[in-house]
Amino acid sequence: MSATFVQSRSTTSSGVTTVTLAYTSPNTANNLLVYCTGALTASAGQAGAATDNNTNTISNATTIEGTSNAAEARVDFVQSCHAGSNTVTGHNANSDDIILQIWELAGCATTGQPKTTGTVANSTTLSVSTAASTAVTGDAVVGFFYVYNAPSGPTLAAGASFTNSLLQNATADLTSGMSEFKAATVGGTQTADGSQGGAGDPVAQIVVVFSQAGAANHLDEDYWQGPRPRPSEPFITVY
Amino acid sequence: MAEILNVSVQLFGAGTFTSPTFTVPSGIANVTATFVISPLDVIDQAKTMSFTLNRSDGSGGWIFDHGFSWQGGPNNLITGLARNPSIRVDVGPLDGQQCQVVMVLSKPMTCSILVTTS
Repeated sequence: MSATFVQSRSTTSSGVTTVTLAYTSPNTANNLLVYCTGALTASAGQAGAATDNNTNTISNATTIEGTSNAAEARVDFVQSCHAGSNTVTGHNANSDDIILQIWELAGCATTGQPKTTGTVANSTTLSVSTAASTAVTGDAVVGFFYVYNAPSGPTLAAGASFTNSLLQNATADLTSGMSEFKAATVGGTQTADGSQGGAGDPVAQIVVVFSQAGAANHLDEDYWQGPRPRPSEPFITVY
Repeated sequence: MAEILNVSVQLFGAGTFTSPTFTVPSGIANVTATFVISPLDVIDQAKTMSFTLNRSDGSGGWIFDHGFSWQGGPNNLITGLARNPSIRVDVGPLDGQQCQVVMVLSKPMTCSILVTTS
């Protein structure tokens, strides 16, 4: 079963400690939720884990510190969500800019997430690849990019191969965030990419691959579904 | 950018302020709420605000859509100055809906509220 897009939303707030955003529609039980948070922080770790109000279990996929620890990006997720209305809160202990982008994806495995991740701390080129090459066709690929001191106006654009994306420019400061989703069309190493306008600024970058439901990372004994020979039976019949 | 709600500068008491109902236009991309807080209040770390924007459920109730929490003080990493809070969302379920703003203050504060399309 290939991963599919269900819904997404985006918000940004300036000069605040938390920002909260509701999903447009209630979540469907057992879907995958992805919470992307970008925050201007004075030091590492001040962008806290996203929280929600639907008693979901939230885990961190990966976190990356940008220039001078100022642009911190993190991707949190719920691998098997509860059904119902849900609002998500992004946190910044530094009381500054926060960008929060939330996704709901269907067709993903409800255990063992994420499959693999990758990060780039600071690069003007938007391209970040997974550390492992274990993705298979149909896995969910999510990219998240967060930039501080960007030129004003829309600066980030999603990669052409991504089917869904969110772009969010801050209301006051020059920060911008972009997240994107696709179902992998080929196996192996996955790359999240995009582009930015203007002179270009160093961008904190994250890619996360989530396993689709019912697909194995590789064919081995645990996933073999065919009949198994009994110990007493020969593997080769000789006539 | 068009104005949707404009609450002029005034002294709000501690507690809850609920705005008049307003309608978000259909077909817009974003909704932005901006606060302008008096210079004395914006640097006061004892001042806090909880902001929410709700949409009508069509039967007299309200559904939370988005919000933030703010505290006064020198909270801007770039300038080192205190700053006015603001929030922008993609319009999502607010499109064409009746909405209200709810602001909860810890102490009296002078500010204005402006909600716009953006």
